[in-house]
Amino acid sequence: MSYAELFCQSNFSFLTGASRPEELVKQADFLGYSAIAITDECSLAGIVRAHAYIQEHKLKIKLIIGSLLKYQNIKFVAICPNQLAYSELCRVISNARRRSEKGAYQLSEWDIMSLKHVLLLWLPQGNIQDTQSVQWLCKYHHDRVWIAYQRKLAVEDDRYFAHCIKLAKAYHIPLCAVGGVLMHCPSRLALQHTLTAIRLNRVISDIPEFMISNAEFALRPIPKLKKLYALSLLEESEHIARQCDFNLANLAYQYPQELVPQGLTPMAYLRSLVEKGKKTRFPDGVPPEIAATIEKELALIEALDYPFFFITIHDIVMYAKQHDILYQGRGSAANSVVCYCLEITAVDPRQVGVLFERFISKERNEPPDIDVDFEHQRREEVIQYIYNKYGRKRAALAATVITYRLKSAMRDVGKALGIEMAQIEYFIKHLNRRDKGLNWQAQLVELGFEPSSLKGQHFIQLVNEIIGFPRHLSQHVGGFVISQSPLHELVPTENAAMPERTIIQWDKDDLETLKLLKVDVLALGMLSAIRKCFGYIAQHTDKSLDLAQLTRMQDDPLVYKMLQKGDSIGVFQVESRAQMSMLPRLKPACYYDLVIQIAIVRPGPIQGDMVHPFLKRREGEEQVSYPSEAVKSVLERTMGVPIFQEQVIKLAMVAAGFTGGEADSLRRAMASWKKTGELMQFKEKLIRGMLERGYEAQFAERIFEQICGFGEYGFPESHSASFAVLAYASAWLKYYYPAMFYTALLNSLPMGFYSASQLLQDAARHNVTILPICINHSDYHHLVVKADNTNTFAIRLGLRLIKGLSETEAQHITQQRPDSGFHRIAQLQQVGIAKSTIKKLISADALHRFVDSRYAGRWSLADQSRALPLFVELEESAPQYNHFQTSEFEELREDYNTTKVSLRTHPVKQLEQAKLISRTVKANELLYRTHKSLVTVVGLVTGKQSPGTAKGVTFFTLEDETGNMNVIVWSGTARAQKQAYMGAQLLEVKGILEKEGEVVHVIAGKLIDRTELLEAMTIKARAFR
Amino acid sequence: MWIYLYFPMLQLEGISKQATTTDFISSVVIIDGRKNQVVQLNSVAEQKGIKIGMGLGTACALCMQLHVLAYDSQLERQQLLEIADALYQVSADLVIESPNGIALKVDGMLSLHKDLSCYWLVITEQLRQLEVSYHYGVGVSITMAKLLARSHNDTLQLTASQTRYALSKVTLQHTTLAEKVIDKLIRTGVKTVAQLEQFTLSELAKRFDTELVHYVGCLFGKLRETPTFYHPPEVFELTAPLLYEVEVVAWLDKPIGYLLSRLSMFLQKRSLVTRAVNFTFVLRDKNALEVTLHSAEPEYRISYWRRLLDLKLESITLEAPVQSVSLKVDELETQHATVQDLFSAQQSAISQQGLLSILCTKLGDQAVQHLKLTGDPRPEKASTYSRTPDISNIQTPPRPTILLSEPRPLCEKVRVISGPERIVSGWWDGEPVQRDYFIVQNQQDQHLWVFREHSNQWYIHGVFS
Repeated sequence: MSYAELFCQSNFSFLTGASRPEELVKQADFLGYSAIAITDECSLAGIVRAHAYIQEHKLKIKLIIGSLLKYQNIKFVAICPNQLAYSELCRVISNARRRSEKGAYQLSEWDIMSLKHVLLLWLPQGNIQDTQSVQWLCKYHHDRVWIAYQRKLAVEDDRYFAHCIKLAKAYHIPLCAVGGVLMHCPSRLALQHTLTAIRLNRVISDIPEFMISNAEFALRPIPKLKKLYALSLLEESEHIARQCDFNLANLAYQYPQELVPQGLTPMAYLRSLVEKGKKTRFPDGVPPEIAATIEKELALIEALDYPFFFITIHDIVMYAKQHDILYQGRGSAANSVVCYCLEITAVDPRQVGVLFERFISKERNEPPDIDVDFEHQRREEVIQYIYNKYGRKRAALAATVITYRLKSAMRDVGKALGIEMAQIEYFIKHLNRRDKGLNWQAQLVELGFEPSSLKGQHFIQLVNEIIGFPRHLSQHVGGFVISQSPLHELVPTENAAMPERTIIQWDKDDLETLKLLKVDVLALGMLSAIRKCFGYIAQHTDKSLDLAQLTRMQDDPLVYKMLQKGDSIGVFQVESRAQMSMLPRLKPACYYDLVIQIAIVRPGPIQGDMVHPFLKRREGEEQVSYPSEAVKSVLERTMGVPIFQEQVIKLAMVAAGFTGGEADSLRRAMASWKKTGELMQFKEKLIRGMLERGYEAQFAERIFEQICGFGEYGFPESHSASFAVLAYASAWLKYYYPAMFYTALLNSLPMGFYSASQLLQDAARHNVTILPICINHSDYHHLVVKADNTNTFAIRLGLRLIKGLSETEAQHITQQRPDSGFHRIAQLQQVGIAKSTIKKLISADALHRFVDSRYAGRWSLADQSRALPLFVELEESAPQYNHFQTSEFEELREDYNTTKVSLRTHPVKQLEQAKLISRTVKANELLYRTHKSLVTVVGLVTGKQSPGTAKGVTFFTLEDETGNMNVIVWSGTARAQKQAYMGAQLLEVKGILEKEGEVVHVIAGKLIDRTELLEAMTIKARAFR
Repeated sequence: MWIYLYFPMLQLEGISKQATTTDFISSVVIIDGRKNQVVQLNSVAEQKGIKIGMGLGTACALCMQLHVLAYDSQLERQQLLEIADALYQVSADLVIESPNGIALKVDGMLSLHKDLSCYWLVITEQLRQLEVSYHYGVGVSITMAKLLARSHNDTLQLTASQTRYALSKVTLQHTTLAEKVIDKLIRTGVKTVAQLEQFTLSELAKRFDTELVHYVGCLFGKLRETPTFYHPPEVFELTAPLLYEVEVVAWLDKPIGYLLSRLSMFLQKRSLVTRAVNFTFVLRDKNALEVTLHSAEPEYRISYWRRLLDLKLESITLEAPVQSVSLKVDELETQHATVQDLFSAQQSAISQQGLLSILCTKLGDQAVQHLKLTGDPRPEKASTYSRTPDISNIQTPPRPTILLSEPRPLCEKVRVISGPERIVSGWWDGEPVQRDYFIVQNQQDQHLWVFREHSNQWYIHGVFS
């Protein structure tokens, strides 16, 4: 006989279920169950994963959708026999969830009464209240109620069973067997206990009474079930399962119809939009080959039935365009000519020459992907537009499943095991995630952790098990699901932590599995900066620019020359240390070079060892050869080296004979392989496929290695192409309008890699004049102003730099400012500027026009009697105490403390002048030192990055008064000199200079923490961060 | 004039006195948990590069086997009281400045010593015996002396200009001003204490809160300090000064009466009784005469002790004139109301609470334990002893009246009545069990609680009544 498990909670019943949905279906199938219901508590968050696993592994087991619901004394499992029941359950869960704050739910009596289609497996409590409950349930659902008997092998089993039988007889309700499963196998008992302890925020050994007392909550083999339950009960469960024929694969939803004018088909409407777009995008007429591409694309869109998707996105970007919000589309479908015509993207197809087919393909069977980036400071307007247009019922954000990661796992497991929190925090603080050579377990041992003790063993095992377990649902960064009918018929929605935000219970992978489309509305700081920069240019030069115009102007060699020097601070995507050091080697000279540059300096290609072959082939040092024409077609544009994710997928198809579906699974496995290790299952198939097609084993192995290296970091060409447009645009602006460019960046912070201080220093190095914050000249935002007596522009720093000064306060100041400016502190008080605000202004030295020093300013402000109206008119006659004298270093410290930037002498220079450090090699001198020479450098640590490269390198950025220095620290050096590596804010490095063309690095040998010198100069070092 | 003694390492030194020598080979630091800063450390830790003010994380990174203790101001105060007590023997007016300072008022004491350095010698001798490290400072006010001590001035005699020079080197961090106040001062350019002198108090009052004004006023002697002087606690010890030497016992009547009445007040105020009092008669050129009186029952009434003393003194002749009489009582007990009538019914009327508290008092808190349910499914661990009564609401499943301390193998024929109850638990403490429990009936109709182990072995674990 067979069995159907109808009550089974996965780990999406957070901190209760101890197995993943995938593990549950796999184990149930292995045990020979005919069906399994995933019934998480008031949630359907785990069902798609179970469904995907069954599909992917072609398991025979049937998945039943259900949910455990609790209302007062009534606890039951709701099971969906059909789609009507499914919609009903989604509705009830949504209602219960929406009534409560994030993470909780609250059913109402009406919710349960209104269930007309779901089957109810009631779980009696075993007490007197059951009579009342059963009467109430039977009143509304008589023919759809079962008594679900769960045999726990507990002491009360016999009594409870008798109680159930009594109820069943009295109310003529059938009995069925359920397992109340919380884990797929008994060995998860310890984890289940741990989860319980975490949920109750207690220590395991203190709460045995709250923990399950045996492992009978696991999926049990059928022979054992036969011993535990009467045959009739098992058969009844099977009988219920047979009534359920709802399959998630049949879920389909419709895009909102209202966008299409009446009388037109969606496709006809899309065609008309494209026609209109052709005229604006190609004013001189569409070149014939592009016209052909458009036709081909439209045919494909029609064949795959995606017109609504394009229309919906078009509608959203049109809103942004009308409201002057800069945006840029990217993703697999975004760089099509159709999208160019629909103004979703500014990538000119003539310049790029990308083919749409590469992005959407019939055979690959994956949904089109278009992400639209909007200005980060204005994305909320777009989100509100979507909510207003479609209503909260029809639009919601996709969820992101927040899972346990190493640190959170260590914290929670440690707490549950009763390990001292201080010790756990100590471990966490001293773990070096960047140390790839030493895994975390070994590092713990190094920190004095006892791995062989009982607690130590439990700790390591449980932390390993719990990593990746979902902790709660959060909102996806911007993935919207929009539908024609109310969303809650499709999937439950719930409240997000942010007020007024609702999310669905599925994440983006779930949506992809079910082939539901989502529209990504993302935020991008660079777009804000570029839009602002365009604004400043228009304001000061009457030139109006936009993205499409910049790309249409074709590649500007001067801009590329700047990039080739590695001068890329502030330039989108190529400003990181690693990117910067690669620029002089890759020497991008055209748009497509930038596309490659953006994709190649990523952990994926670096790990897969693709960078060096590419460089060599580009410089003609290595022959480019292809094992076959098919491979050539895929790799030709990147000189035979796979750089983009699309190429790897395509390679699997042409060289190893993967089908579209298989390639899609491969793509997903790549996306999550660090977490699940799923990629290995493709290895054999890939290599066998390639051998069969006559490729050499070595080649096949290498391709697989590269796929692994790509891992989750692999960058798609489709995204790179869009990013390259922004990279070029920002580089162009930096080259031609530096004052405007830096001002725009500064006004868009926080964004990018660099702080205001670093940006300003870079601006100064580009000969941009920077004017200090001034009460009489600054606005809240930084301003572009005409530099004195020249035709150039300068940056006037804005009040926004001042720590703790709000925009409202700043606006109040600028509104109250007399035309002749302020002349006295009392004047500020007079116009109602708060004392705390004046204090901040003094600290920022914004009153330097009429206050001798910060000290004097504070001294006079501190005088309480000045606040009395009688004295306000009096001229300040601050006594000249000698302690009002300040040193340059003190001023510098105060600058950093209040504004995090200073226009004064750099701290390193000052230390040198004070003879606290001897003169070392400066950043701008490094280039003139010989290769392999020994150098000593000193600088403030302004950046520390370790890209996930295989070799465990950390890039330090040290800053002195002349610029930035790149210091490379290998993991061995870092481990040996942990103290300086982890904590130094002022670092002295003795090392070897490495020079390759214009790329200069110092390979650190000795790290000396000089932070105490900053303290010696009475400085709070952290202020330099 | 004041001398201020500042003890920077009180807690650590207090601990090291009790510790064995091997304990102190390792690095020890004391951390103030609120600020997460090292506040005291031993020399081993210092050698490792740990410094005062460092965070725990950094300290741990510098030294792997760090012994970390939490700062405990209460402990420091105890140490401080001990020191005060010792110093009180040689210096009458002293002020405790918790948690780590003592101010000595010098003026009164100088009449007893040749000069300041002699007095200081006495003090340092006391401190040497106490084995504490300290810094000191001298000033016209406690505040001044304290500031100098905290800045490690360690100089006994200072002229006005020397003081001014010393103050110009002292940063505000050495004061006991709140960090907020210090910060505000620094932000107006004031960095050293000497700079504070240039302001009039009214100028400061306009700009800062009263704390600073008061501090500066006291520091420079512009405001009067109101110290609370130290009084030795608990143990009664009093010397009756005699205006002249006394040769006849009867003439000691008055001073003895004075001492006893003070003792009586002392005891009554504190609800104490004693079984022994100790009189010391200091004799000219002779060893002091010690008279100790005992009583079987604890007593506080002067009449009782007076009677005893009179009896005792009858048999004593004075060998030399008495210079002073002092009374010391250090064996003190709390006064208990005792049941007067042995035969009244009241006798057994002790409440459960009362009995418990009497037992706790008699036997010590450790000796009295309550039974408490733990909820652990393992029968051996289902209950435990606890110092506090069980207030949990744990439901217990049916369990046998008698649980065998060691399960016995089951060697008889039995009939299963109910079961199994499966218990798989206890992985976390190294005593895991995996058993199926049954209630069975043996041939004598006894109900037994038996279990089967994973290995299929059967055991009896309990008997139902």
